[in-house]
Amino acid sequence: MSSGNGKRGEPRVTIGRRDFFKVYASAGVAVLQGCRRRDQELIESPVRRSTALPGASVWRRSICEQCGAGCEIEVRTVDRLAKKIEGLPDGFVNAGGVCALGHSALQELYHPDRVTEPMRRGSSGELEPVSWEEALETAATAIAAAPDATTVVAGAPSGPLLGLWRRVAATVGAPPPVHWQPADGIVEREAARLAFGESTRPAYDLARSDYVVSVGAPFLDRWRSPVHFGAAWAELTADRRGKLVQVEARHSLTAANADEWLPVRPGSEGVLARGLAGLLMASGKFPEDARAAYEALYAEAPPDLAATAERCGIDAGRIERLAAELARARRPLVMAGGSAFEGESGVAAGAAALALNLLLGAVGRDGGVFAGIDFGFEDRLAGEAAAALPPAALADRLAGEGESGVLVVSEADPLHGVPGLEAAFERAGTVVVLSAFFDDTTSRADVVLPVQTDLERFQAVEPDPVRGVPALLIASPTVAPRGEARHPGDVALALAAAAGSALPWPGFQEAVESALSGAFAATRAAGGGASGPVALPASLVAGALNARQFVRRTTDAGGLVGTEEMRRAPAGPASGDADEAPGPIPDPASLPAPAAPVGVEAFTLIPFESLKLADGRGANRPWLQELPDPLSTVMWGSWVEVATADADRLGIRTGDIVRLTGTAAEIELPAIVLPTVRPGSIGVPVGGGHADYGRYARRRGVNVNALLDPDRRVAGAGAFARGDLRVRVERLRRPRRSERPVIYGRGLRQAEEIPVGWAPHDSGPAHAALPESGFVRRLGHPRRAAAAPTREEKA
Amino acid sequence: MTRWGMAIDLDRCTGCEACVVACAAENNIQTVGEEQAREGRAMHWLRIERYYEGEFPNVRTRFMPVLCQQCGAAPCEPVCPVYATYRNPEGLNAMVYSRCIGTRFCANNCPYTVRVFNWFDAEFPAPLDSQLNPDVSVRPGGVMEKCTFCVQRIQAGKDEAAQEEREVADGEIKTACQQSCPTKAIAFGDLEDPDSEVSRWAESPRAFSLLGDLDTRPGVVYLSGTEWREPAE
Repeated sequence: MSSGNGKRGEPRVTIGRRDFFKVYASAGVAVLQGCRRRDQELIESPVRRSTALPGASVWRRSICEQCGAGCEIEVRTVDRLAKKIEGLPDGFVNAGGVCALGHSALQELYHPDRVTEPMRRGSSGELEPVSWEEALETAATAIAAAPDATTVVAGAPSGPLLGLWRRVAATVGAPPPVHWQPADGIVEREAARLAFGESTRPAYDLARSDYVVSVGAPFLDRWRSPVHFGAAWAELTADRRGKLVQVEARHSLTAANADEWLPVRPGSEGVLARGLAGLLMASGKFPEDARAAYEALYAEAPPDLAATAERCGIDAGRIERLAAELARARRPLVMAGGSAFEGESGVAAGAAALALNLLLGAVGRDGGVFAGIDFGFEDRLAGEAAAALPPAALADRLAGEGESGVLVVSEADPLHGVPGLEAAFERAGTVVVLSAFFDDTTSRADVVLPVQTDLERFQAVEPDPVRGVPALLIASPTVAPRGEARHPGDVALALAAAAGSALPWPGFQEAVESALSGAFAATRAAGGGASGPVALPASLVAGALNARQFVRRTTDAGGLVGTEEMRRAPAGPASGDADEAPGPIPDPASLPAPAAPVGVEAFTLIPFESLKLADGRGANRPWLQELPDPLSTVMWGSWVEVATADADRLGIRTGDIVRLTGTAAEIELPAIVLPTVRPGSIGVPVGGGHADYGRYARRRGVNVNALLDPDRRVAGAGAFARGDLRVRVERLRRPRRSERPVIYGRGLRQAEEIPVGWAPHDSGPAHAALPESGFVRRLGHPRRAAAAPTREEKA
Repeated sequence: MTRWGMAIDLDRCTGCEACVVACAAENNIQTVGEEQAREGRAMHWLRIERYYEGEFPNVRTRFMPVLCQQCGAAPCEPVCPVYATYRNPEGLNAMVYSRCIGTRFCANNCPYTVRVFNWFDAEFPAPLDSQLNPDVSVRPGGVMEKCTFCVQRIQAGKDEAAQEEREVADGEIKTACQQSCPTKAIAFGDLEDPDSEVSRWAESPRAFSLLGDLDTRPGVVYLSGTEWREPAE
């Protein structure tokens, strides 16, 4: 008999008939002798209408949609309840791994504060349960009355679901939806358009490189796919074959794991990239055509070493050594992302970093950078509908004093993400929110439509580009939906139908199948070989007789996955037609540096996504709230990272409550003093301080987004600029008991030095110096034994 | 005879903590809430220790997952007045929850600080309890607990092998932390089998035992971190 944790990858129901009777006979006898009630339960069990035996594990394939990475997972279900998430060993993106956020999807599914029934704001001003029909009718009537004053905000990652929202918005006569997504992705597209002539997000072959310079991309933290890039990083650095250099102002988890961390001044990442280009070109080690391709992008010459060192705050010798190592590497690669993209000049900085790949010959080769291509299922579902708008478009649409019309927000929490939108939401005629939780936006809704979470719904996902191989992943629901929750795609279609503009599909699954069917027809029509813009690679449709068979095979197989041969280089700057060819890229070195600090207490604020809370969606899961942040070790709540030198100067100790004052708001939160913070900068995780979002997130920590200035934008990208923000820092007081940051106090009891032997940088063979050179200092969070509860607590 | 053991490559550990959440999900570890966590009562069976070396800007960071070391000469065992913790024949430092009376002597004697105590009964507000693993008991208040090397998975793996009348193959049984690790930094298996992956890792010149001079003979072996150096031209 097999039960419990069997092998992954197949339903574990391998109990033989004879075993079955043996087990039940013996269990029945044992229980009969003991307790009657258990006996009754046992006899009931075998006649349950289920294909699985009671208590047996059934593993179901699913897709993690906690971020856009598209990790394929297996969910262990017992008695139709989801118990555990594991990575699918041959998962396209994740190859068996799952991150902390991915595991916690179970607590999203079974959260005690889920919205499980439709609600409508009644005459009392409170949200009251209503039927789906009533809720949809209220929403659809408002949309139909003023379609052009309807704003759709879609939080889904790019792919089929976003395509459907585009289609639905166009069908009901509303403007294109606002795609609520991190700034990073939009800026990345624009930077790639300038550097590579193609606005697809670049894919990186980290594992096969031997020298990686990551300009701001926190790929081991919470960027793109930490699981995929974690595995690739492990391959890169296995046996110390390759080196990772992290260029980032904040000491992120990626910086902590890098072989070398270059803590550049915030906002100077692009200058460093330009400075490196100057040194690389001067080295004379690169072919003339690579050099010419790079030089054609810029009107100016790169800054010299001294200017670069000055702007970046990095020792000139170090930059020179880095350039020399990069020039000598066999398969160097430059990645860009994260903080490099988040300042007002993020596009220029990102383009400067990406363009280095042209010089290094890294474009389109193993261990290099590829175009982030997909099968285009977003556009296939969108049909003729216009492209989605960037997040800043929401603020622009809602600007002014007039009524904001109808707002339809699906799986996004803009009120938590950006300050200054509350008034516009108040002015809106009707706010319709599709959400699984009462988050900050849902609590302002007039109509709440409960949606299914990852494991409850049909999934069709085009993963964010990580390998340069296109894929469409499809999965069926793993467990039954809770309450009356529906698929957001089904709700979108129902809204369109109720508003009088029905689309031909009853649900999202049918829409995806129709798109697959259309892709099959287009591919066959293209002559079985040529891959036109609407055709798939012929090899993917080869085995199917007709569209119906192709759709069935594709859904049964879990989607369409391309091959490594499909990887290709971006089009190249010269290949675009004249109208689209970008002009010279603005040189970050010639842009003005961010304003100098005013007085000692002006700091550059670096908001970052922690691996715990991500953009805030993780805040409602107790596993993640109680997970110690790996660098600060803080659990539950928010914190601000302060440099040791700054803390000494301002008299701040770990735990002290400090006030951060921005242009429009101020927040108070506990300080964590760390030796790894760049003096003059502070880091605060985003995702805390929800007004609602369930019992574990409500008013837990503070929302650093309150300090953002919604009028600051990343030039040329339509995204809010989160980087290079100036704030004042002042110490307020020692924390009261309830304000103390929850620091994970456990550590080794007897050792301040442990034999972790690593040789100092550049000193001899990697394994030679063990373990004598091992000296590790524990940072001084005092070790505390758990305090026994007081009598009151026990009571 | 089998001796279950684990090897952890610190060169591969990024400190991403996927293992910590995987462990909580697999083993029904309760979360205690902000107030209790502030008092140091968090219940993790596995933690990521973080070490710094040097000062800004030449500061280096290392991570080390620390869990029950399943010691061969466990300091926690002889101090238990009711024999609730003992060494099983396969090298696991096992806990009998129903026998534990909560003296906490074992936690006091553990040099690795990996034992945690249930100060209160676990709470899993419905329907969060739907997620609980039916193979693992939820521990009541007043009981000590710690990493079991996912003994329920070991048992399931052995049952399956016995059913098919064969030996347990190397790599067949995976602990929850090992299985979710994106960088594959953890190996688990039989240390008595010289060909097992964990034995091969344990033979590495980088291998060391945590607090090795205490001679607790841990079943967990670490492979120390190393530095990149430029390959010769």
